[in-house]
Amino acid sequence: MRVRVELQLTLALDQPGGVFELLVEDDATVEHVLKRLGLEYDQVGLIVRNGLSLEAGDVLRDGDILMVFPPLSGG
Amino acid sequence: MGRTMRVNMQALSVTEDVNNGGHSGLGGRGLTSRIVLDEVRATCDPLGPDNKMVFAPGLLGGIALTSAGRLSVGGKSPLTGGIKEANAGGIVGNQLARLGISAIVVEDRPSGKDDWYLLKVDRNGGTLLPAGDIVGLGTHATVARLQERFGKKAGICCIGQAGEKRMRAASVAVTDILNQPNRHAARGGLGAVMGSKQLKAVVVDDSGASRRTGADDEALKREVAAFAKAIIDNPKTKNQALYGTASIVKACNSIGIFPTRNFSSGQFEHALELTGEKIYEICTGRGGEGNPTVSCMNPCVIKCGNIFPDALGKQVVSTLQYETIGLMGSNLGMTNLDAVAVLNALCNDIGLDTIEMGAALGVAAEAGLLEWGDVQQAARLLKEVAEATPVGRVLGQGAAVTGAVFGVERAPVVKGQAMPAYDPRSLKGNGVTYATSPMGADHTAGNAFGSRDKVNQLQAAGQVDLSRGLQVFAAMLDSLGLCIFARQPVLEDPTMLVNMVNYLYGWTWTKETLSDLGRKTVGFELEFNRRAGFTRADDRLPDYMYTEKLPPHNVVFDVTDEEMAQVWPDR
Repeated sequence: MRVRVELQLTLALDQPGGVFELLVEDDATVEHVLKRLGLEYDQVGLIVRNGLSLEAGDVLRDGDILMVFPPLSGG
Repeated sequence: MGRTMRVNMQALSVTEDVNNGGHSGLGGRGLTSRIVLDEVRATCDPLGPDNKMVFAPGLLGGIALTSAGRLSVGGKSPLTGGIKEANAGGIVGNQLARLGISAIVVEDRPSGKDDWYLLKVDRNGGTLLPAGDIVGLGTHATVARLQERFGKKAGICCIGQAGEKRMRAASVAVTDILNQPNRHAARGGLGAVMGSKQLKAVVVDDSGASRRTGADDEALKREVAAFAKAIIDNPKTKNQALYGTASIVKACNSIGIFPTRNFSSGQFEHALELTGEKIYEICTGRGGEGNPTVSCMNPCVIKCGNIFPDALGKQVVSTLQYETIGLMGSNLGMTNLDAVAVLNALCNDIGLDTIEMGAALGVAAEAGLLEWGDVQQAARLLKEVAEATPVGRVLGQGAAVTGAVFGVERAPVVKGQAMPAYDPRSLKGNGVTYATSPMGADHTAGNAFGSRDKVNQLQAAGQVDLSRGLQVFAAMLDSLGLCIFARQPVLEDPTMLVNMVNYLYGWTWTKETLSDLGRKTVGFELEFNRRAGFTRADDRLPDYMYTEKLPPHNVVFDVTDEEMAQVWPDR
């Protein structure tokens, strides 16, 4: 299946463009997809799909769009 | 510990107490709240002679520690009717600490109702001087006049027209390293308390004062350097330097907590025009005075501030921040940062809390006083606050009074104080903090944003414990004078903080002492509010948030009163 990953803020600075279309296995999790981009789950903050925050083990669906943010604090 | 300076506005006297009034182990918010609890009758009129106003640097102020020079300002709040501590960055906290001052306590008020004063503080002590010539000026003109008189390097706390007119949304402005009144102890109307004492400004000249040295100064210096390095190495720091507090706009909007059109939605269709990335683009693209990365105090290695320029590169405001963008941007339907910057600059100059005024204008827009997204109308209304027209006076009392006067039920307030830019229906941990903090609705009292994986933001379960822990932690940081943006290394391990306290004071604190400091501080505040007549019935969000579904998740606030009572079960 195909998922789209949009890296945000400093994560996008590290990987130019910051937007990736990936072909992944059907039962791929958030953690799988991050690994494909060379990111550990601990290095990122919010991962958002369709307005909802995801966790490492959440399974993705074909056509998902993930926004991946670095760790953030409200000030 | 340092000295306590007592300023009596009736006797026009300044005296000093050398042992910090016996309040050992307290600084910043812990100290302001202790003094207010001990010395202010909780039932007093907050704008009457019996209220007191306290300025206090944190326990770690003045030691050249990064981001640790925040200044706490305390008193009884005219906005909430409860205790208040609001803190600000800028240069004055470190200056007072270097001068050896733990607290300045301002008491009573002058006999003549047109007699205005300023307090000059330097290494020889404090002096009250007449200030009639600067009354009526905004904060920028006030600071310019005082710098002509006392030198460019003087640190200044002052009020604008809103504070002079005793408006409940009035802030206390504090000068930063640009020597401008850009930082505000904004919340709870402490500017009005200062106005009620007819104290226009506090001017601090720390010439001749040097860094505070520690009981074990070599160890202290090593730990101070290590702490700065830990912050520099933290991945959050680079985001805050480049994109500022507004780095979270896109994230907050994407998860549906970004207040929009008087808290009627958690997502704004123009949010991408209001992001930290956009601030960066504008500050670097327009050139001139624009700068995406400035600090408010020295030292600070985070540098979350900015100088936001107009199209010609001239400074409009410093610093454009997340809460202001939420409340005066999306909450008012503003579609670009230039509009937010104009409103922010007006608030800074009049001496107004941007959160309270953004919420008040949102309520006013719902009442039909202005159109959503109309920056000219919003600016005109803010100018009416400065002019103290009848409408301006209503708005200047904040969102709750504005709602009451114009018949709008949907005023986003707790204990009379407006909510910051996280809708509590979709970030329920913040709903618990807003409802149960002794401060009224306040994100800095315990912000659940960023607490990933611990608790689901949309569910009630777990929010009470999350909020309690965050509130105690925030009260501890506020007592040390440490910025919440410096919290990450402390969350991971508070040992460095404990060491710095011990190396500085020669104490034998442990991690437990440190968290006790937070608990004790909140305890002083809950006790003051109890004496002022607050009950558990005050620990609620406004009714509509329990019934009106918030898009896009279509959720209501559903933490029950019984659960809420478990935040502070012993009080």
